[in-house]
Amino acid sequence: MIKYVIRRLMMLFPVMIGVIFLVFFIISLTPGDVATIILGDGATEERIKDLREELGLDDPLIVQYGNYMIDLVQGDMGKSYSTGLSVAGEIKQRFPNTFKLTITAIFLSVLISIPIGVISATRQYSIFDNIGMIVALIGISMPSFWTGLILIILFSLKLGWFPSGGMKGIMSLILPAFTLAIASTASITRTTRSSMLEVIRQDYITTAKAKGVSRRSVINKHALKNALIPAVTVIGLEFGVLLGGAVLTETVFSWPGIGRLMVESIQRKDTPMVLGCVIVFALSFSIVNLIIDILYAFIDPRIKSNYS
Amino acid sequence: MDYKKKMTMLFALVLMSLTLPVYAGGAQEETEMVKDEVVVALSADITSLDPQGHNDTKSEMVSFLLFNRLFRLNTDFEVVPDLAESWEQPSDTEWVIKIKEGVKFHDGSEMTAEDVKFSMDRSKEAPKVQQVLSEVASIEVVDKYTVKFTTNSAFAPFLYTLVHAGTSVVPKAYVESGDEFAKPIGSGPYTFVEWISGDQVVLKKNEAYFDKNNMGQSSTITFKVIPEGTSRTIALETGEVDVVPELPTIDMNVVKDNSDLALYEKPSTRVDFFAMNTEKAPFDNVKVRQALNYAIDKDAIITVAIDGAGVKAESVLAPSFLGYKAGPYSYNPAKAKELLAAAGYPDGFEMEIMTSGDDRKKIAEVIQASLMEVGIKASIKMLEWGTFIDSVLRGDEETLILGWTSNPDPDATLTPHWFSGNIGGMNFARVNDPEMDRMLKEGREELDLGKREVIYNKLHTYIMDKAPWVPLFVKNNIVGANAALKGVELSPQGLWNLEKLHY
Repeated sequence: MIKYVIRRLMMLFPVMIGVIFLVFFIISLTPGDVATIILGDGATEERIKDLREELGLDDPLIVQYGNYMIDLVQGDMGKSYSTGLSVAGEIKQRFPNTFKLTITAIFLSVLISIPIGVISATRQYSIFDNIGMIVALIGISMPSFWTGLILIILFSLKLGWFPSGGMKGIMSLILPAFTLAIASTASITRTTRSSMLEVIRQDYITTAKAKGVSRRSVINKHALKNALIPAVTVIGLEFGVLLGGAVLTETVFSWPGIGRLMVESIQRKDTPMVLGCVIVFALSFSIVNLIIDILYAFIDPRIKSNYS
Repeated sequence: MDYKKKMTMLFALVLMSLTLPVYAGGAQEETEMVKDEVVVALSADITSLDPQGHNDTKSEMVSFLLFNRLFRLNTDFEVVPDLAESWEQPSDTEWVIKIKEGVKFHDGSEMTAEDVKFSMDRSKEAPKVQQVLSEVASIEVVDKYTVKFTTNSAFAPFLYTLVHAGTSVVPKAYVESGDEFAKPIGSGPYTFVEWISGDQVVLKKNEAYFDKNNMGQSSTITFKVIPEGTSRTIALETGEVDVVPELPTIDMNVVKDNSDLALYEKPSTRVDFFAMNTEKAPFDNVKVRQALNYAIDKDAIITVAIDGAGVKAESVLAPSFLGYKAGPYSYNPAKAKELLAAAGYPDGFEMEIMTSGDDRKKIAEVIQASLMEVGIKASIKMLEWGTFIDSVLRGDEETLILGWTSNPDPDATLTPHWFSGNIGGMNFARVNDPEMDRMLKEGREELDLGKREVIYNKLHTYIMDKAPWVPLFVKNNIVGANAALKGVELSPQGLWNLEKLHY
């Protein structure tokens, strides 16, 4: 098991190198000269030339990439082109906010979706199942900026229960986390339901029932544990989706997260900042997936035996 | 442990995690006394606390409260002294400025001419603002409170350059301490408390401010970043913010209809225009350009694109500028047709409008419809901003739509747009006209205001006769505020003199 984890962690390096390489070259392909953007209106030809030299923008791309990697290995993510602030410092300020939001959203959606999924499966085609699935369909179809605004209008403007935005205490976390949770709740519910349906038709469930085990115990102990693997996979994937998809929610709720930072940086062609954000996204996504893989082993002992 | 217990544990854990110290801070208790705090909504975060490290209006709002410049602009965009006590001009290229004595920085140290010279030299080197003092050849310290500027040539707009945030006076000792403006020290009416990236900037009143007439009024000013337009309006309605400097035009009626809120409007200095590339046929023909000036329905554009929040533009600058003169055109499709026929295009022609952004797309569509009526078939090409600017600088476009916020002195906008040396730069119509070049030079070198006005009068008439642009509209700045908030002042640049805001 430990060997496996170490091997997986080692695999992070080629992944990160590849991701940085890709992003680096994609940004360089987008139009607009960085020095011109930084200097703005009325900059002289000469100043632009000087700044290009200062930032090393005249070097071949591969050299620029090499320099960036050398600095990165030494723990230096550089300085933002547009603000002159340290990239690592900005990310340190912003990432915990997005993480807080995403984790809360995942907790919320797991709390809601697993029970609904299980009940829908065990009472297939009942009213509850139909309503649950329709609600899930609506949830997955609503774009988060729309849901967010509707929630703000209802709960902040009309009812005055929550602040309409910003990051001030636990009350300000609830609306954005819920907005973010809605879409993933829908997909986790549907996955739980279908995998539950598959499991309860297995022979061992019939056996358990025949042995006279209570209905509750059959579902919770025998069925759910086996049905959870696909659900956990989806939760892991959703975590990545949420992390990246938080941009719109962060914008609507004025949440100072890393998603907004990245989009603003792309618009300003602020390469070091964009790279910094992408690295953090890729790393956290990889690590979450690793954790999910390890979780499998605890849910299903058969998988654990494969590792050793 | 049975399953139920496990689930209960998990549930408890989730609840606990929700209340962990991560969320410490808690909801702040509101007091029912008169509010002594003003919250201003910003549509984007500031870029820097270093007054010489930014060149955008959001960062400027914060800079203006933390720092002072030698001069400032009043709400009518006239230059008034800020740090300057008196000034004189021994020759056409020399300006001797004496600063007020006893001005203290936030750390208690006294401001001297050394700090002024240091700041101006720093400004000339700072990438973001190096262009502001580009006409200044040198700065000397005359005595403890006096500096002398020498310009490259006679330069009428000189005092206007000293109102820019990039010429703020920073304490030399502080900058040399290497703090890099993490905790900026200035001399302004407010002192720095904190900046949380992407969230808020908090400033506290400077009780020891040197200018007793312009003291800060509220004990705290907080700038809150709210990127989404509708969210800004809602935050104003719920009372989470007290003033929104950039209210979306679509929400104007929401604010007007709410008796708790007040709406402020003032024409900006921003002109949105349609420019024709005079290097390309048929726009090299002055009759065609004049025809388009008659053909485009500006009222329709104002209604569609900015919900009526603006006035028709009739020349290349906003009316508030020195020497402004309106052009001769009005909406007249029949006259446009006549001119097109005279130019040899009785049946019109096909052309392309290039622009970027959703708002500009609406403008382009109205222009397309207007041109259709005089027989011109226009297609619209939408580009991403970076690509758009690249293409424009290369001169790929036939026609384009863009907006421009003017600097307070007319020269700072006219020269970039109309001087032949700026083709490939901001000379969007790619005009190469020796007569225009001559008038521009004359205008910037003439130090007598009356004579300058006459020169710019002539220049406006000349440009509009040549008609390389169809000026479309001057947008209003729209500020929404709590109706009880006092001291809301607007300049053509928007919310102004924020130190006066109070309840």
